[in-house]
Amino acid sequence: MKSNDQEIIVSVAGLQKSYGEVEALKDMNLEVRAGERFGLIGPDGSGKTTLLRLLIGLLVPGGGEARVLGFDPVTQAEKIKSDVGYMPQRFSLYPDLTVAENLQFFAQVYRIPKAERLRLTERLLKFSRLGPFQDRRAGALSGGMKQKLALSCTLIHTPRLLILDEPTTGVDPVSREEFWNILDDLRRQGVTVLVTTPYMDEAALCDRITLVYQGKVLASGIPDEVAASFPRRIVQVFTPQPQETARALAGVCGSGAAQLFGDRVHLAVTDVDVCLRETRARLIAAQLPFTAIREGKPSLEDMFVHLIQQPTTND
Amino acid sequence: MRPILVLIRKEFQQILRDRAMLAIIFIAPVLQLVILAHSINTDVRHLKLTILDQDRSSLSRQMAAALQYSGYFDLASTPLSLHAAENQIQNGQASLALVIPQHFNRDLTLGRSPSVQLLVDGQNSNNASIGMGYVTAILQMVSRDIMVERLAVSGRSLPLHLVEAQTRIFYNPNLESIFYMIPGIVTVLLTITTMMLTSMGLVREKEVGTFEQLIVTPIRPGQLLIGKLIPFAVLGFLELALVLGFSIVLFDMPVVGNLLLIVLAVALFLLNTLGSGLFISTISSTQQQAMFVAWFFMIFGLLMSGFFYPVENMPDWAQALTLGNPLRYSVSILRAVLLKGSGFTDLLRDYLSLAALGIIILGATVVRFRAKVG
Repeated sequence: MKSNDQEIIVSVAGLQKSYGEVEALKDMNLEVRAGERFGLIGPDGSGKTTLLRLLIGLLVPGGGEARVLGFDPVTQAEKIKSDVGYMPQRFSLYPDLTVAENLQFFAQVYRIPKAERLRLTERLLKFSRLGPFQDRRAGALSGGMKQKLALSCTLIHTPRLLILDEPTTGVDPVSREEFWNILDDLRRQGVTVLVTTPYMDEAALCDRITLVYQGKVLASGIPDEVAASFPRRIVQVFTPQPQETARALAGVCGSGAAQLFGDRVHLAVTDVDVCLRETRARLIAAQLPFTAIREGKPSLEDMFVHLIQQPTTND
Repeated sequence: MRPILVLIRKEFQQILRDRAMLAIIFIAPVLQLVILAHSINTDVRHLKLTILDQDRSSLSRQMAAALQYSGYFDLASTPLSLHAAENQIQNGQASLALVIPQHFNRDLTLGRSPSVQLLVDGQNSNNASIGMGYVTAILQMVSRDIMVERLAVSGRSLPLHLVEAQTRIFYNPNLESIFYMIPGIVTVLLTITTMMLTSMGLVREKEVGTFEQLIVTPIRPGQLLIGKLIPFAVLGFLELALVLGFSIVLFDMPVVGNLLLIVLAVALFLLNTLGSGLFISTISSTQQQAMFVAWFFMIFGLLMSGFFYPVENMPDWAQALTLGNPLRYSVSILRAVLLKGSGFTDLLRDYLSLAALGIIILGATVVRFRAKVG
């Protein structure tokens, strides 16, 4: 493993931020260690982007404390900037400049010496497989290619910490996978990555995650452990008609709302044996087809749905 | 220093790639110059005049001929009645109608000082009053000639000596209104390129998100600001050279004063326009908003600049308003230097006002910009 696993790259304690009346971050706590890939997982509007913008010094917090690479992002932003790469959610490069020109521009902005600049640009073009498109204007790239270019531009100064805000939202599945392969390469190079995503399958690819909802931490840890801490058990129903099945199974044996997962429906239950029987009976009564009913492993999404359905605890 | 150069280079890369932008910067000025210079003409000529001669005497014909060959009027077809003359004004065939009544010649000979009637279309008050002035002056000349002639015929000499003004026009001897217009056109073009394009340029970076991307790089806000201002200042000077060059080559515009004074005035003027452009970009979140605000200020500034209407003709409160209008100083300095050859000391007050306004606007903008970014 990495040499200095214990080094804390990002630490956030009791961080708060409000926009007028709206509390975007209520009480945020997390720690990102050197060399790990840390996922900030939550639906839209949960405060993920706000947290990242606070870390990069684009916003001033209302309370609490943050340290990035040992510096305070509010007062020491200049010291952080040269070692951090930030990729905002929205593509924000110059659409009227070409791929190569965008890379050159950011290389120069980060004051990379000319000789090294060419070498780095070459390497990034190869690594992102944008080489054949280097003379194409950034605005004319596909969504996936845009994201790869944006990532390349944020990597041009070989940052120690990479902050990515929903890098794969709105990107096709093939490009998404490719993007995560690139992140694998970066992990091998020892770059610490803090990434946000609304996709649970991507959360599973992180070393550690924090689930956030409404500006607060719901759970943190290694993805498998977070999923395994699910306090109930899961009954899976495989069916060609998931929508109707979910509707029909709502509330069966005290399971609450049934969750849809593509071709299957998940029920969160306490007594699996009782529930398997009741579910089967109800589906037969409703004349709904199914291919299998069995107990399954709780996924991160089950855990997440469970957590956000909890009555809000005292602040 | 280096980050600024990088930003400037990027800005030029973008400008050179944007055809619409290039057209606005390099083709629009030439078109504007040629079209505006030829169409905005305060010299009033070719006024449409119709003459109803009910007298049909040698005197009335003499008066009609004097008007016709004065060079200021185009004669409309001869009306047959007062009603017809009125109709000609009504339907726009004539903007002035002179009615010489019957027995005009006889009454004059009998010493009754008869009068003629002048009907005027007053829609364009400027043209109407100038036209009236021309007609009156020409008729006075005619009647004076007649008087002198008749006195001579009767063997007497002229009992009174009229005062005659010998006019010599300085600074624009042929009274060419185009030379009067060029300083205004330069000012308009500079305002468009520097104020409008600056405001939209920065707002576009906000819209696209590149602004935020730049802020997270080691570039400092001050460098960002300068990197945005310099390219447009350079464009402003290019524009100045372009318009002055075309004016000299195409219209034989004389440059009486010192060109360095022009450059100084433009440099001070650019502080104002670049400053307002940046200010607009700090209060706008979309390019449309920025453009709307910039247009508002530009039209307002232009109308209050003395480009079309002399500042001296405005009511006092409006004149006071123009003291805060950079366009006013630009127009007046450029006019005075180009046409009159005024020196720096003659224009010191204008230069100082322009500098003071520029420092205030740019200073306020920098403070606001830093507060927003930092």
